[in-house]
Amino acid sequence: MKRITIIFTVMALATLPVLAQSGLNINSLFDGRYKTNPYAAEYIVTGPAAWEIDLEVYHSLKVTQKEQQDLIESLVNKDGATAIDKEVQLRNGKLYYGFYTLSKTKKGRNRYIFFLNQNLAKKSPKNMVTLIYMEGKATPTQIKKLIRK
Amino acid sequence: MNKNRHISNQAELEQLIERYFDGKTTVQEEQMLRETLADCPWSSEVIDEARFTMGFFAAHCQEKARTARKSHRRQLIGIAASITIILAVGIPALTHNWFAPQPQYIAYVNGKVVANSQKAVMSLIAQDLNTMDMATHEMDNAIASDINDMGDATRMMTDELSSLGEAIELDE
Repeated sequence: MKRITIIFTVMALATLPVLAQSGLNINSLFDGRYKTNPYAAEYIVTGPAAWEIDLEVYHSLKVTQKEQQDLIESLVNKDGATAIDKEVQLRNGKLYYGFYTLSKTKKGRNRYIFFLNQNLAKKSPKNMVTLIYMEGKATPTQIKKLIRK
Repeated sequence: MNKNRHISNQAELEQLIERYFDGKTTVQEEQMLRETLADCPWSSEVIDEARFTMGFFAAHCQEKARTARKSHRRQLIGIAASITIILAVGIPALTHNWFAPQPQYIAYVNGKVVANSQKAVMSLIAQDLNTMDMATHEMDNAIASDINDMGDATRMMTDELSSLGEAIELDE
C-alpha cells in the first residue's frame, strides 16, 4: 500500500509542471470564470484539432463588459511588455490591436497573444474585446497565414 | 554424542528420545533424532510419540516456511505488479504525451455550452480568426495610409524647398 502511495505520488508530481501556469498574466483569465458569464464567450481547443494548425492550445475570450475589457487590456499590456516581438496599435490612448510573440515555453513551444478592441475600430465598431492565446509549433508567419486563410 | 554417530538400535533411539524430552540433547543430536525418526522402521509408544511431536514440529516449521515463502512470493508479485503498472502507464504516457491537457473542443457563449464538437468549435474559431484578419487589414491600411501621408508631406516640403530655391536663383 505504501509502495502504491509512493508510485501515485510520484505520478501526480510528474503532472504538476504540465498543469502549472506558464507565467503569463493572462492565464488568470482562463480560470473558467467566463464559462458561466452571460456577457462573454470562451473557446477552447486542444489536442488533434489544434495539432492540425500546428498548435497545442487555442484559447480565446470575447467579452462585452467594460470592466472585464479593461482587465483583459491591462493583463495583455503586462504580458506584452515582456514579448519578444509585437505589433501594436493604440487608439485614443487605449490598446486597439496587439499581436505579441512571447518567449517559448520550457517545452520549446511558441506562444502568441492576439488582442483586439473592436470598440475602437474605425469601420463598424462593436462593443467587443477579443483575446486569443495560442501555443504550439507554429511560427509567427504560420500564425499570420492562419489568420489570413 | 558424536555428530557423525548413527543410531544403530531401537533402545539407543528410545534413550535419545528420553534425553530429547528431558531437554538434554544437543542441536546435532536433535537433528540426528529427527533424521532417524523420519527413516527408521522401529516403532514403539515412545518412538511414535516422538515421531508425532517432532513431525508436528516439522509440519509447523514447514507451515512457517510456507507462510514465509508465500509472503516472499506476495512481495515479488507486488514488485512485479508495480513495475507492470509503471510500464503500462509510463510508456504510453511518454510516447503519447498523456500528461498534456486532454483534447478539448468546447465553446461557451453567454454562460452556456453552445458547441462541443470539433467541427462546430473550429467554425467559431474561424470567425475569431476572420475578425482578427479584418483588424490586421485595417491596421495594415492604417499604417499604409500613415506612410502615404508622410510621403505626401515629404513631397510637399520638397516642392516648397524647390520653389524657394528657384526664387532665390531668380533674385540673384
